[in-house]
Amino acid sequence: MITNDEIKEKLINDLERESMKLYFRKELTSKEKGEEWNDMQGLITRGYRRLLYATYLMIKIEREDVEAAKLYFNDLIKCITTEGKIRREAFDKNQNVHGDPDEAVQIAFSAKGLEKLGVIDKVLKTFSREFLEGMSPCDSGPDGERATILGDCKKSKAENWHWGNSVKPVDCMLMLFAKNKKGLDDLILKVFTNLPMSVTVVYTADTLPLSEKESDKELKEHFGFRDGMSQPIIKGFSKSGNLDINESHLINAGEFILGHKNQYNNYSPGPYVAENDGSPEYAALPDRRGNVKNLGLNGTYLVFRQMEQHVEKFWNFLYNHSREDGLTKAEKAVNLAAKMVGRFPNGDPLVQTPGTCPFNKELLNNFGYAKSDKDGVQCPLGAHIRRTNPRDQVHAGRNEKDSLEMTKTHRLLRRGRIYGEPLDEDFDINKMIANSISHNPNETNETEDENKPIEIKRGLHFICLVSDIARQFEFVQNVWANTPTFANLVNEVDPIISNRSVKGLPACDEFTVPKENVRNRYKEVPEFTTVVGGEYFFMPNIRALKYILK
Amino acid sequence: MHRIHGGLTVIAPIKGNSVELGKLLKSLNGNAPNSAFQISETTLFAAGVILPAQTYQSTNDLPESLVFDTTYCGPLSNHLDDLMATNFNNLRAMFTCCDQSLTNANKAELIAYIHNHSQTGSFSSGYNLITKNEVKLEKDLRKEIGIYLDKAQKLGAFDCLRPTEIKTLIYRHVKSLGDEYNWAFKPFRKSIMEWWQTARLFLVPAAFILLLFFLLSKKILLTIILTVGIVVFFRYILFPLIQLHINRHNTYKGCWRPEDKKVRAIAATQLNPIINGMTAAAPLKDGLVRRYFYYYTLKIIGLIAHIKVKVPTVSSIRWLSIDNKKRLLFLSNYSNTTDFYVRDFLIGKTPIGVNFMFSNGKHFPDAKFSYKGGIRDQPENYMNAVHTGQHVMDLWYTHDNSLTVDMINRNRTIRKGLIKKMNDDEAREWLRLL
Repeated sequence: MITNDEIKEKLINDLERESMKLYFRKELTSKEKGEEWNDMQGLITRGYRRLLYATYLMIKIEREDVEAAKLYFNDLIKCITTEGKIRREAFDKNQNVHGDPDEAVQIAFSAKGLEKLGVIDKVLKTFSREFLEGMSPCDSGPDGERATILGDCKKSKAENWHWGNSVKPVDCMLMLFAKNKKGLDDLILKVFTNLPMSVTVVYTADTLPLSEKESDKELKEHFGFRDGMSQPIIKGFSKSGNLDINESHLINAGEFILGHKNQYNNYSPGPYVAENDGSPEYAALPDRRGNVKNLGLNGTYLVFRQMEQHVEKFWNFLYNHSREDGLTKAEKAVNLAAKMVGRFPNGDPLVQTPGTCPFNKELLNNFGYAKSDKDGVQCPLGAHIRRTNPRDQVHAGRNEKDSLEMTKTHRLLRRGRIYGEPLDEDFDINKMIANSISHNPNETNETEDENKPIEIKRGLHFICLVSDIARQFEFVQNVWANTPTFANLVNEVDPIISNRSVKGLPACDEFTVPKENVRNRYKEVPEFTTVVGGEYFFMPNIRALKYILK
Repeated sequence: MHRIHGGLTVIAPIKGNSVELGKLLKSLNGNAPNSAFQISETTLFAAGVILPAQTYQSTNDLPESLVFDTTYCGPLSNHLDDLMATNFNNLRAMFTCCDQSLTNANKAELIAYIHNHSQTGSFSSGYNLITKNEVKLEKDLRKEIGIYLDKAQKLGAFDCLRPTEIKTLIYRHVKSLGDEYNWAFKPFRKSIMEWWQTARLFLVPAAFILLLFFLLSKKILLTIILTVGIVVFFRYILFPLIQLHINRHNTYKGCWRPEDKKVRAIAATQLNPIINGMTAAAPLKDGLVRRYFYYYTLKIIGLIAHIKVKVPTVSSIRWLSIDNKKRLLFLSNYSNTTDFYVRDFLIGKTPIGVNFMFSNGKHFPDAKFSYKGGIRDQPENYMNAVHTGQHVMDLWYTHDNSLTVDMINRNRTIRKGLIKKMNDDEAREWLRLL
């Protein structure tokens, strides 16, 4: 018979002991380290790649009967999947602890949700300002701070969203993952048992099931490109084999997990509670502030943004306007698409000669721009992957070292999945192009009236985990993706994810493809994505969850 | 006449109604079409902000003040004449709310008032020696070349041409536009004053060494030793000793996050997509030595040269010690929004210089020897201190809201390159700027 302490000790052995020593606080005992895992929701450390089916339930809590809602959520706590739980089960089954469980339930709350559940104002104020305001503050409008920073105007303005705005606010999100359809249905039934009247699902964000195959083509997004290629490696949390792959992707845990050391070598600031503001058992580990308890420890902020992808419009525009190399119009379209994304559809980065890399996720991510492509001749300066992660060339006079230092403070841990039926079920780009050009681009799901919500067909549930919403997510979205002068470009923003309307400027609808001598510049590039919903959430650790629901 | 950039900072204690003054500042929206600042030929940036009364060492001796600042191009006297010609009534109304009655003041009296109330510290511009008009002209030039390239590319006119041949075609095209772009073909020359301004950083020490060389009857070794000794003494002995003295009673306990409401109000005024401006002020930390040391160090930095703060998003920046050396004032015009901009100070070696500038202000993290640790080690306290010290700018003007400092400098490089003889490699590099 193995004792609990032995199990915990075994777990710790498996957690890359050496790196844990380096990056966890040294004063923690093995027992306490095990408790950290027990506290942390599993989505932080894993994307549940093997759980092919997922759905996100957006929940509203009625103020009239909050106590019933609290009872319901309290009852749900035992279903929440923690890293410790996954590892214990794997250990019991003699399986690899890095493998996924059979199902997973994760929970996160918006600021409105926390307020409704009775978190006192004094504690609420310790959350970050961005989180408290939410992704679409109802009093600010399209010219407000968040909307301006995120570029949520015109068709993407919050008034048009399907959820997450003042018309359909969301207080809580339940994320359910399962291995198959039946598993997911059973899980939905399970969490809906005893659902009180005061808890209603206002929006269900279903996802397209992932493919069982490991190969890259099965992990494509709707435009037909392989997705999720460049993920940060969290120090002390990733598989030990990855640790010395590429220093540029090795990021301190505090960038994604509250209460740990971030890239500034500081404990990432998170919400806290004074000793006398609640039952002390919820957060046993003290915070550096002294007489407070760290409510955020092992929790994180979760950014959810539902982006509708206009696939037909995308390929139609590229097919009709591309002046890139290629024997056929379709080939030219694919080459321009690759320039906009920064990778070929199979995931090969443009800065490396396509076809020379063996299929290896790490190798495909092991490159920089400063030395090999400073002018963007291979990968355009304004390409999506270059804007959202400029690696060793952030421009504006920064050298390689400073650039890397800077990009490491703006990384996102992405956990998104796509939704809706793909334009072609095999994600075959040639078929997508054929389908797209057979339609009139004006007959896509996009209405021209900017005051009318668009119909939801297919797109991406963009999810990222960060410890600082403003410094990480909003910075990337605003300074790198949405700024028309990024890398000294003019009148252009991220060709894939950005709104072409920038407050106070003419339409930023150009895209420049640098060439050996003279660049190609494309004009009047339409928007290929529209934001249709979104919110900032707090994904608490289990003890914080108990405090919130106490 | 030179094109050196300068910073005018006028600090005037408010005696009248500050609410009314705030309204007046707002009404002078500098970026409105045909505003007085737009018409001014020398004003690159302008801002007006009301600093609240603050406490220094438990004494309420930092008065509520109006800060009016401009970044200008050329001699100060020209700039003041220009302001009087374009903005006299506004400025007079503005300063009438302050410590002297200027209701009936004429231009000369107003200039005298500005001189009396202006203060200097360190100042740096990201695109020194480029005038307001040149910024516009060079932007137009880049646009014109861009249009030509777009058309030519669509026609395949550059296929099979060498970079130098393409450059020649561009040259001919601009030439063919006639008088409008004649200015672009004039050689770019620096005036003696401009040469001196950029070279004095090296010339002054060189002259000093030469002087020593002759005074010491050509004893070269002794001269070198003496020079190095002086530098080492100031840099590694005197400076750290003063810092040790200043920091001997360090009691920094961090800076709490200011009210979200305040930060939100400030952020709402700084959401321009490309260029923004900010003003922050904080009482100095305790210590008489600190006051004088900070004040005179800023003065010396300002006198020696335009300091080059290695923050590439800075259009113009200045630090001053005001109110009888008791209050730190920070003014800047920059790319991005405030929070993202001030975080730029935390990257690379930038904190070394910025630590000295900020660590003397209340709420800002202490820095060992004025350069180590500080904002770098305590980024959240630093951000909170910036937010605590920030104030809403009621008046703000920028001469071009679509150009970053990098783009302005790049446009200058394009202009210079147009008339420069180049080989293929150089021409290729130049073409990539377009």
